[in-house]
Amino acid sequence: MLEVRGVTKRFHGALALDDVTFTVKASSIVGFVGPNGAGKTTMMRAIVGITATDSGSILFCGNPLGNQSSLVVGYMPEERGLYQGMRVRDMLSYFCQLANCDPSTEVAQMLDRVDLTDKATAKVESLSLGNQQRLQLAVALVGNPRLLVLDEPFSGIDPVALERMQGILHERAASGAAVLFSSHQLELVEELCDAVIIINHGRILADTALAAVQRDLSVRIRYDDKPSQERISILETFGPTRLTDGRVVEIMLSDSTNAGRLLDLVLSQGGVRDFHLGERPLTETFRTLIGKDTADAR
Amino acid sequence: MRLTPVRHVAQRELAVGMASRVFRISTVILILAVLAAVVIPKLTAHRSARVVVDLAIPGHTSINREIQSAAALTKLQVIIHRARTPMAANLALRRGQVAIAVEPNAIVVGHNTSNSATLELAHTLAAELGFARFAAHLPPHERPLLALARPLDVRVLGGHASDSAEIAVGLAAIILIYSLLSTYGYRIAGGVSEEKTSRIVEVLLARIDASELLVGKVLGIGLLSLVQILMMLIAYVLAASLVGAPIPLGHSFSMILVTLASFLVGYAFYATLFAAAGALVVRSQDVYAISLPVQIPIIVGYIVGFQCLLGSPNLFDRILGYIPLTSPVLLPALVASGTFSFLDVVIALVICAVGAVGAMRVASALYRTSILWTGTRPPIRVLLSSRSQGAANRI
Repeated sequence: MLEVRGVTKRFHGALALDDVTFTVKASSIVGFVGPNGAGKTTMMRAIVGITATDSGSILFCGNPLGNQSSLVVGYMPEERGLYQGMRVRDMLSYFCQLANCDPSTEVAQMLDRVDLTDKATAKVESLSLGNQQRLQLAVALVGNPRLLVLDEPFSGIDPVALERMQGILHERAASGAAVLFSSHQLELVEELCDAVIIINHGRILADTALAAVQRDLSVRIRYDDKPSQERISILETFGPTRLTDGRVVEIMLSDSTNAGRLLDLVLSQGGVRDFHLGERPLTETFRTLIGKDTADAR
Repeated sequence: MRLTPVRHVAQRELAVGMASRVFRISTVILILAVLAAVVIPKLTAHRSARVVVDLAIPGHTSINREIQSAAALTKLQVIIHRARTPMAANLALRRGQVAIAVEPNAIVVGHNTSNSATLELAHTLAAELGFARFAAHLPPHERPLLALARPLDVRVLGGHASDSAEIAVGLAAIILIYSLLSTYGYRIAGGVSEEKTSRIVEVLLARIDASELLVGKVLGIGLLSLVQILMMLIAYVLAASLVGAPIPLGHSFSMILVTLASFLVGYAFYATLFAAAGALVVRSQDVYAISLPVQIPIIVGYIVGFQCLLGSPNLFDRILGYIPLTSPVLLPALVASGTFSFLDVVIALVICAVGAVGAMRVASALYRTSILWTGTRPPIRVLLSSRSQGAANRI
């Protein structure tokens, strides 16, 4: 559905996006992750058409997004923006008009959807931050856009609102929309997304289905005492290894079939208090990729 | 550019503007000012005038009939004085002891006492005397030629062509244009800066183009100003009808048209410049400081306009009347002072309209460049290289 091909953007010489290419399929929720300043917001702004790109193309259903973006894209920026003096209902009505849809039916539905019906006549400035967040999402959802681009949609909201918003995104995806959202809450990305795109220094480091990322295994070993360097060197032959708090060693298994052999080895060495084998969390993948990319950049 | 989003943005600006407390209070104040301008002169008006007749006029005693006839036509009470010499008549006029002096070939109106009533009397008397003198020399069979009778000349002592009523209308016009351009200009700048600093502009620009947002805002706030002007005109007409004051016709009506046209081209010229200033703002409290450079030419036009009306316009004032930066405020003053003819007004308005198109192009490019530029003000080199296509944003 959304195809980003070779997009490059420089800001007065500084490379913000470097040949970025990825796709977001219909009915999917894709997490867009990366450290601060990685280029997430710039990419998202480019998709919705408020930042011009230097090269590359952004296609939606095979056609340049350009002029049709206003009708097919719902956008929620990282820094929230609402008319503080406007009433909630008027605000949604205004964005309905801009999205070419009928406010008389859409506004009531949207208010109900984000649980703001009882706040319809309240001024935006009187809403709590969580409710303003809901309204911001409602603004993005107005007109049933086929592509949702959400920049940090879950920051600063309570667990109840979070659950509600997750439900809405699942619904939108189930109805055929493509959802691309950025977040620093990687556990949330794991929970919500079908795929993840990792970006750093304007380059895509990974663009993969989440299931594939999580297929990697990690092992966490707690020793009675601090393991010797010799022991760690042996463990490193199984994959990237790091000592986390003096007595705990984490190993990302390069080959998951080696898990049994690693267990045998550790038991034979002795002095082990705990051995935990689990799926490699997204946080680890993220940390590994970003760390490697940063080291390469140096 | 699509018209539908422009319409929706304009509608919102109009609705929000009309609902605002500032608009309601300012409209009430302006309507009260209009009512005062109509009612107070009516209450304090002198419906009498002193006319001095120069004894040097041959057969001066016989012009009493024409004077009384003119007084009856203008519904003024007239007191006639006799001057022994032309110098005495002139002195009485200069001292303001009399309003009108009848000279052998002209009617002279005192500068200090000239107002629309005495001018009306002077012109009527000039017509009556001109007719009477022409008739006196016509044999009875040539009476049809009376239609060719010419009135005597009417001049204002000191050579100032305008009367105080014209000056008052001119002053009111430049004050009104200055107030409206400043008020609605700042409203545009404030609205743009609010959208920028609150970041809602990002959400808006994801839905509509920057030019649609800009044009919609300018049109909506422009309509708001016209609503206010319309309410003032309605208040004027109603008040004038109630107290029996004259509804402006002729020259005064032309002044109203010049004022309206000046405001419209002035608004077209300045609106987008104020929008660009608003887009340059980093913090909303800076909006007045950033808008000041746009405001300065309006202030200059306002000051020069006062000078034109209360003194004698010079060549520099005339030149400023053709420059789009100052002409919108200055034009009514130049017309009221008799400095600009109809042709001058048309030329100045056309120049200003062309200037407005240029200003819109420059300002909309600045707006596009600056509206998403946050954290710091865009560097001058970036602003200078602004183009109307594409946004030069940064993270």
